[in-house]
Amino acid sequence: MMLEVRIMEGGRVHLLGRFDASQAAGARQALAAVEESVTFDLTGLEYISSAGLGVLIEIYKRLHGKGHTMRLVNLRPNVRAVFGFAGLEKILSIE
Amino acid sequence: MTERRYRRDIASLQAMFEFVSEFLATREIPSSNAFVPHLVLDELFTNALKYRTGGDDTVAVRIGLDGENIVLSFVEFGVEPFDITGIPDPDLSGPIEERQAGGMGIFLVKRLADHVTYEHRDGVSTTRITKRVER
Repeated sequence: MMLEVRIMEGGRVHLLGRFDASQAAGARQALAAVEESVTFDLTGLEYISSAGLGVLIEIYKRLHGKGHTMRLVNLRPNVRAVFGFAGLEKILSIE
Repeated sequence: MTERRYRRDIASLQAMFEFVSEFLATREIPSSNAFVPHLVLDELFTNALKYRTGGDDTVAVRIGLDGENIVLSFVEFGVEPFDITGIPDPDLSGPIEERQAGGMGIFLVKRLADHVTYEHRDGVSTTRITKRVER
């Protein structure tokens, strides 16, 4: 299954499917339009690897540098575990 | 162990995932157990594509069961040694702006697998992980 990026109104973005290394370049391109505070809803995200983490970290740095915020919500347990092992639960706003 | 070979191309990643998922399904192992093997292949394969470009144009994935443990090997041919067990963990203590790029994927492999071993012989590089099945 591929990764689907749905940019909604009101600063909410849904990521659905699998955020693996083969999807990173496309995701980076699709998310280049995110320039202001955003909430990533990961309800439908089944899987993420370091490539996906890297894209999200890039976005965080870009937004943070401009005074904007990034939240991640509704993480599935396996996905949350990857963020945890990567030490990102304390840095990113994860709910 | 069951083995399949793949071209050294990021497009092979999905086929590797399917190979693992099919193997688990035929052994009636819950599909949730694919998460770690998938991530291991994701990280090791992309690392190989980035950093070891001079080897054979195929890699191999081997998967099997040892009791209630999934055994997964990622094999490269015609390459210099790359032992992930000897790579230091990245420093996760500082602010994100100070984090160095790279190293996270290998770190995740070592944290998520139960055991990781490495062998290099005659140009054949084998990284092997085990992960206990959760039912």
